[in-house]
Amino acid sequence: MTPGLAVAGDESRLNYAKHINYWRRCLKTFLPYQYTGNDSMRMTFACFILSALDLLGDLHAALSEEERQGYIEWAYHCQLPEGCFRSFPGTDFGSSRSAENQIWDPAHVPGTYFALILLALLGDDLSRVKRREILIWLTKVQRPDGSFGAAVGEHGNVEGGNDPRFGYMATGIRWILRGHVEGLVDGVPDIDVDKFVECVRRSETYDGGITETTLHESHAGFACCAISALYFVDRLPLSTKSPQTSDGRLRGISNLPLTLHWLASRQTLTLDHEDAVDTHGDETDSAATCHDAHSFVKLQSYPSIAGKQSFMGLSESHFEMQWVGINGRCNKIADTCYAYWVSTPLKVLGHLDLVDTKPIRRWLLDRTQHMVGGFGKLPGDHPDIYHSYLGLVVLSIFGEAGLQDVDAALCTSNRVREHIESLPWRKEIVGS
Amino acid sequence: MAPTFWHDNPAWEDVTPIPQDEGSVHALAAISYTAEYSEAMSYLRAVMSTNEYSARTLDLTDHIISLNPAHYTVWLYRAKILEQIKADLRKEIDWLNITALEHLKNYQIWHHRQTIIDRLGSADGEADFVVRMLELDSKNYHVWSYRQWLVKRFGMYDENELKWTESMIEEDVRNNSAWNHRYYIVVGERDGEILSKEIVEKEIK
Repeated sequence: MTPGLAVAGDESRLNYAKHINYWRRCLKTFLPYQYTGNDSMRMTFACFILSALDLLGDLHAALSEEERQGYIEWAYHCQLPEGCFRSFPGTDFGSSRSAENQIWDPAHVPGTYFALILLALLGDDLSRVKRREILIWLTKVQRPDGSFGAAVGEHGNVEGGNDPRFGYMATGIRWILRGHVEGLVDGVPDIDVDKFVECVRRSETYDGGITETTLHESHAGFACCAISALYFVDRLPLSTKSPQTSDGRLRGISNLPLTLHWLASRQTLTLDHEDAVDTHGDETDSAATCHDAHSFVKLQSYPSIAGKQSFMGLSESHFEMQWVGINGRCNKIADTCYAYWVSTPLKVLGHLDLVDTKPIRRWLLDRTQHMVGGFGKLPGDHPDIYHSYLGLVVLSIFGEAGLQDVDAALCTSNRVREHIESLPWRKEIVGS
Repeated sequence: MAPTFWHDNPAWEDVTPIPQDEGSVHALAAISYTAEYSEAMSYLRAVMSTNEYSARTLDLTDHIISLNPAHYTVWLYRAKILEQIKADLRKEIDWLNITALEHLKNYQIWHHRQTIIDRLGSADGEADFVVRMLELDSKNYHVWSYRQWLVKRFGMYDENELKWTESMIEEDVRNNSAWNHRYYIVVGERDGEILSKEIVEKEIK
């Protein structure tokens, strides 16, 4: 090889045609029964499917006008009579729904967030969305300690986890419906932004990461959600690059350099199970057992020759660090989705330049991109909706040619963001 | 295992299942459900809509959980049933112990366990159970979260807990979760109080 020539792998390509096939298949046909465990995430997956096609520039071509309207109706059918959205049709009691049983079919934070993004993707103006009701409900899904849950249960208890994922989606909903405007708007109360920021600050760990709750292990998924949430409520730390005077408002990330260091330290050469021998053979994660926030689609029960062939003949060498993966916690294996959970906060904090995106890109395209399209969690894994979408978003954040630009925090295209920002009712609230 | 169907069970004759309504001919992220899951969900919707809390609905929640453990309201409904029929919570823990082995990375199952143990008011056997779960997956975030909750709820910031944490670190010095748990034990009880010099020196050793 001529010295100075690009290392092997710079020919790494995103196989557009295969990805379009993959996503069109997800759109037009039934997802295999192995997705039953993700039934309650259908709104999220619906959003990812449409958004993926949007990023690939295929959304318009993929939908007939009738389908577009039909999908909009599907989403609005998940809007509850009292406002807000359920996250899957499975809890709908139809005409039997009443005040007594609606706690089993509740307004759901992720369901509502992804329904709004989905509607915006389809070009809807959100005029049928019960916006006031959602905003009032958001204040009820916030706990006294500032954290958010998934839904309100019996006796007004906030149910579901208390980790930053819900803070991310709750503040995302708020951003969509009222931008950065704080306080009472038109008689509609606001969430307690200060309390939320305090909650995020309490979740900052000794190593600069962010956890589920105080003193737990720092985790990239939670770091991303927390930082994106701070972005949505306009309480990011003041930049180290361009000094700004503090306006007295409480901000998150009390030690920006430490957090940036923690994020950049998520880069790893532990890309598959052989590499994990080095870390005491302790890695037991696989697509079938990964963290709750992931899909636990057991697609490995469908072995395919094509899948295996996809990975034969690839160089295993780490020489010159051709491939760099991203993990979610110290000493864990690299996983496609963590490329998103780490790149996004770096981008939002204005410091994506701290990582070299080339070897990360190579890792995604050479090691976890699948022959049939999509991305798996680990090398050799079958593609699943969750990893396939986040892999695509990361590549767009890195500026991959041929993909639409994304808003990393919103986790969808800039086009969708602009559409939301252009809506007349929203402009009235936030000012043009 | 043969699928379970409720429609031919005479004990369920009085219940009219509520079929799923997508609300549109054009559905998104449609899943190819098995007939078993479709039917079970239709029965679940029916009994949830009438707020039935009984032994038979407890069985139904068990069935749904085996097919889709991430169905979030089915767990809340199950917890309510247990309370209403005054079920033996120790038996529920036995059931959870078996079920947990199949669903290690499911938030709901750990939250449900927390609810039941909280109601029982006793941590008997829990520390051991956590150890068994960690043998299967030493870095499981939910399991470590649950252990932290146990420690806080039952005041277990003691030598035993510290020793156990040390053994986890000895087993794998790269286990960041174990190190974090140690930090939690040493720092956590103090509720934000500044650590004494002795403690800091001891930790550095």
